[in-house]
Amino acid sequence: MTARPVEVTVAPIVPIVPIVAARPIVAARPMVRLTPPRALLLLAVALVVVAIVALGVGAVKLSPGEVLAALGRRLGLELPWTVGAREELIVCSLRLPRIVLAMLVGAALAGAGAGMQGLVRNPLADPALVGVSNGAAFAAVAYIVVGHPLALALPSLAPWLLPAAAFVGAIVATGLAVSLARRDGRISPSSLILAGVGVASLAGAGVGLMLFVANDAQLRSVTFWTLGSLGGASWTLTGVVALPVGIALAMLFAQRDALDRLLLGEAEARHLGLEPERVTRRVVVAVALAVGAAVAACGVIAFVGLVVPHLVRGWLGPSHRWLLPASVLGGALLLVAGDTVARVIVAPAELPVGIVTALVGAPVLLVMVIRGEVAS
Amino acid sequence: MIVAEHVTVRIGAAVLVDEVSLEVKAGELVTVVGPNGAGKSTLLAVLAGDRVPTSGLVRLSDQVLARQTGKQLAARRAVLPQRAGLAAAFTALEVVMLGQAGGDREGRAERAAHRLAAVELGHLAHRSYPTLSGGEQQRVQLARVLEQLGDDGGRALFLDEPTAALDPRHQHLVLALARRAARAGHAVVAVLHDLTLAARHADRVAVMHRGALAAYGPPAAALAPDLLHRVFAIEFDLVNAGGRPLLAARPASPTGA
Repeated sequence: MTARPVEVTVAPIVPIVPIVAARPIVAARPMVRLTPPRALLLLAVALVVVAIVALGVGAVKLSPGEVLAALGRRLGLELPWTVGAREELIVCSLRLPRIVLAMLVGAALAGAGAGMQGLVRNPLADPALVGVSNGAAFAAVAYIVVGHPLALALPSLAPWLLPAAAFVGAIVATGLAVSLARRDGRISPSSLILAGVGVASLAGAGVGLMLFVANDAQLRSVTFWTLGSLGGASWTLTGVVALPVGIALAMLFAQRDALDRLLLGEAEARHLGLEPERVTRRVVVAVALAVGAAVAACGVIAFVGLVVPHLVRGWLGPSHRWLLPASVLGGALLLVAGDTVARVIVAPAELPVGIVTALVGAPVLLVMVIRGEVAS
Repeated sequence: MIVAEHVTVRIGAAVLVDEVSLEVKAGELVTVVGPNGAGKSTLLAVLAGDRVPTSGLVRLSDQVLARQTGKQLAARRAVLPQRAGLAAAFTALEVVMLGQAGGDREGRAERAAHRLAAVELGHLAHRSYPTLSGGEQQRVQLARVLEQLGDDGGRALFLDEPTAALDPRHQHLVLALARRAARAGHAVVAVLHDLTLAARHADRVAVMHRGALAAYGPPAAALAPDLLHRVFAIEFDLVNAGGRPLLAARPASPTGA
């Protein structure tokens, strides 16, 4: 809400003595101290700061100044710090694509989570609810275990076959869940959740089956993939992910007012001229695109899509005008920070980033449950 | 403005609404009364375009409802449902603004604040909706619906038991606002349980009995005690309270009425 408090006078309609406010005016939301636009600015600044710190972290440690100098060198800018070609290469060609990918994937997961939670009017909904993550996981694992002939047949495309399989799996699973949930052209949130859980379980069973027939080497890559990692980042991959994520986030933001009205209830939204089916379709397509691209790029990363929008909602309120962009920034921030921790905590090895986000996300969720904040 | 012609709603063998024909003119407040299960809410849903009748048709401003898109309907009528399922922590002001079609946010916030003041909730504009009492929530929803309707007249307003959760003062306030909307040129239909409220505020009263219209006319005619006795299966006393009608149900005596 941008609206500053508006002075209002109580104008009694019926000629009776006006009632005096009997109860004190309690703060609307416990955490609001900041207007939403300022909160967005704060998140954006925090994201840039964390990204600069993250660019300096690794086997070759660089100060924030040196990081800026390396970026400036690539862009042809004169800065007070000087670095060599090696530092420029490390920052711009090795670390920056990974950090940009982390931003994109975090933004995609958290934005999709905010959209999904709004759509099914459940603050504990997760993009995985429509089967998208498990569908991607099944297709990816199936490719790892039985996809060799495909890789041999298409050697030039081999590096892209795994993400492509994951993306197709995500879209197919979501499409299946949505078509199963449709009754008389309507998709109710509860049937969507049930169909999504069903499809997700089926895909999960498929993953189990694949694990059963896999050999040890395949098991290792499957495990790594299902825990999520940004280790495969390159500028090409980042560019390929940016397109669907960008489209999906734009689609979600276009539904911001519709999602707000849907929170009133389906009947009320209809009375306001909304077609809930159309909103559902668009949000689900956007969620499948965003999460499908994210999972394809770096495997399953847990909790970002659940916890980030939930925290943002408690902070800024339920209006999607602010919830969506703030979740996008918050998701990017969380994943850049989480991936940096994953890179350094067991250096020179790397922890799968999904473990880090789960280690951070699950306790945050539990704290919210204990405090009773997990409520709509 | 609202014209229903031979509206019938059937579900299987059950007839919920039976051959109802009625007209509600612009500038008029019509209340619909009747016992539980008489078909009041179903009739309201048909009139509001939420439900397609099994047979018969409804016209709103000379347009057949069934041929209207959701957007066209939203520009022609507003509906206050019986129960609102809103659980999100919007402020009262934000909820009212959800009823508005568009425009700059500053102006919209100001109009919404005035609307909240009209339902005597100006002082709670920035309170979180779920923390409001049931009656306060109902008035916030009414303010939202009135924002959708606007003050220019020429539209229809449907209220399904708008006074259910309200104290006596606010029951009268809500009906005064409904009447004011009618005077602004809207056609207003409200389902009510309180016959005295209906008698005191309505221009016309529709009495429903087993899906059919038992009476439709000015309160004094439609709310005759003998008709009410037949429809509600309980006797009513019509009391003249300072020139205004007061209808009180008379408990059946133990010996049987």
